[in-house]
Amino acid sequence: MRDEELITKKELLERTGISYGQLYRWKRKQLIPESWFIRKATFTGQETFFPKEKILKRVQAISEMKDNLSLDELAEKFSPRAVTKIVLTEQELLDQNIVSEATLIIFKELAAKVNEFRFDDLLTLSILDQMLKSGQMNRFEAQDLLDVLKKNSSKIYDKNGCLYFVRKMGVSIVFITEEDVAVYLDEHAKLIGKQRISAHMERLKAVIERTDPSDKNREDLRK
Amino acid sequence: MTEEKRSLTISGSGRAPGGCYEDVKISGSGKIIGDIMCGSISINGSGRISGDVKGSTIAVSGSAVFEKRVIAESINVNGTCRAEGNVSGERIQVNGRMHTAASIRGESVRVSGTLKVEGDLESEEIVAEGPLNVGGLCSAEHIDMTLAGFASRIGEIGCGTLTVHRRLSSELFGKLFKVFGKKLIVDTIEGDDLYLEDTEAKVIRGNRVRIGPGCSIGRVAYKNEYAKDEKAEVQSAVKE
Repeated sequence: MRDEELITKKELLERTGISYGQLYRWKRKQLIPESWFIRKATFTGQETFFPKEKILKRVQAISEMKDNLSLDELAEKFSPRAVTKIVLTEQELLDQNIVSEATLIIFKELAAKVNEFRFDDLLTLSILDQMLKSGQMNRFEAQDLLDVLKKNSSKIYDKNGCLYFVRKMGVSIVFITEEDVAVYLDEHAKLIGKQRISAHMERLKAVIERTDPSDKNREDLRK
Repeated sequence: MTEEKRSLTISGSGRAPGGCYEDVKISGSGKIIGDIMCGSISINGSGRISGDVKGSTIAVSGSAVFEKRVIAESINVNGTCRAEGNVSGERIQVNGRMHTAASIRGESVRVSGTLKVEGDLESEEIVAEGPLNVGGLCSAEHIDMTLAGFASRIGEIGCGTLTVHRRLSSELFGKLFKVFGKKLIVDTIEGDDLYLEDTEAKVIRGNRVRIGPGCSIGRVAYKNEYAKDEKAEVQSAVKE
């Protein structure tokens, strides 16, 4: 949440033309996550702020879709849990350029040999891919990353989690924080890499939605 | 599922384990230990449930304590009821007294007794004819309050339409009850269409704001329409 540009509630309503009633209705239906309502004391009393870019995008998306979908359907679409229904095959994964082939081979060596990838696998792959490509992590250290993500990634879908990769005297540690908080290390430890998990999720969702407008994969799963 | 679910009846005094039941009835004093899932629960004496409760109808006529979460289609409280966890139900009707330590989420919430919610109260419709106390946010499409009895205190209100009326009473009764502070005290109100009587608020923001008699308001920010009764006090009103 830090370093994000904020917008006041008043400004939001003015810019988007929505009413208080709509804003509260969408909040009740969980179309707008609770964590986006940021309360701050100002000289006129307490004010509510929103992360500017996210809220403007979300309000626009809701306004565009609300004529065709019910609010409950929209809520499902925006729910961070909705991603758990996504399943991709190996071919789709490569076609959509989510991950490089080299990373995929390592993943299949270390984790299960599967042909279908659920969203938590995709998330792991995406993060692993970036860590390997940037040269921050070697393939032997990848196992730790897979372990921590496998056990915990689903817990932080709706949070603002970060993954840290730290080395101290040649020993590496991978850990996840539930929110984007400040982390302080002792002087011999070195922060090698930090990945914002929500950024990876956004990227994945965007890729999947772009190439798959009909929500085919979600439909398949329901059958 | 062909297995037939049993019903549970406690008459007199007793305790029973949680589990899956058809109908649960406590007529004397009963305690259910563990989570419970059932078609209906009716508590006529005093009942305590130590786990989560999931049922289609819950009726409390005596006194009940729910120590964890409550999920039901309809919740009807005619006696007193205390819930320690979150409560969610499509139709929630409180004719007696209900106290929730966490939040309530419903489609329709009607109160003619008293309702106290320490967290948030969210519903599509809220109709209150008795004192309504909400520690956090009270959010609904329509909120209709008739002030009666003790004062209602609410942290924040966010809504489509809000109407707050004083109950019509004879001159004598009116004076008598004034001692009890029959009014609504709230920090901020935000909504599209607001009509208030006997309300104390620090900040009000809305499209159409009408301040009726007996109000004492700090700041009003309105978009389209603003009206103030001569028996109301407003420190400042600005069009935004």
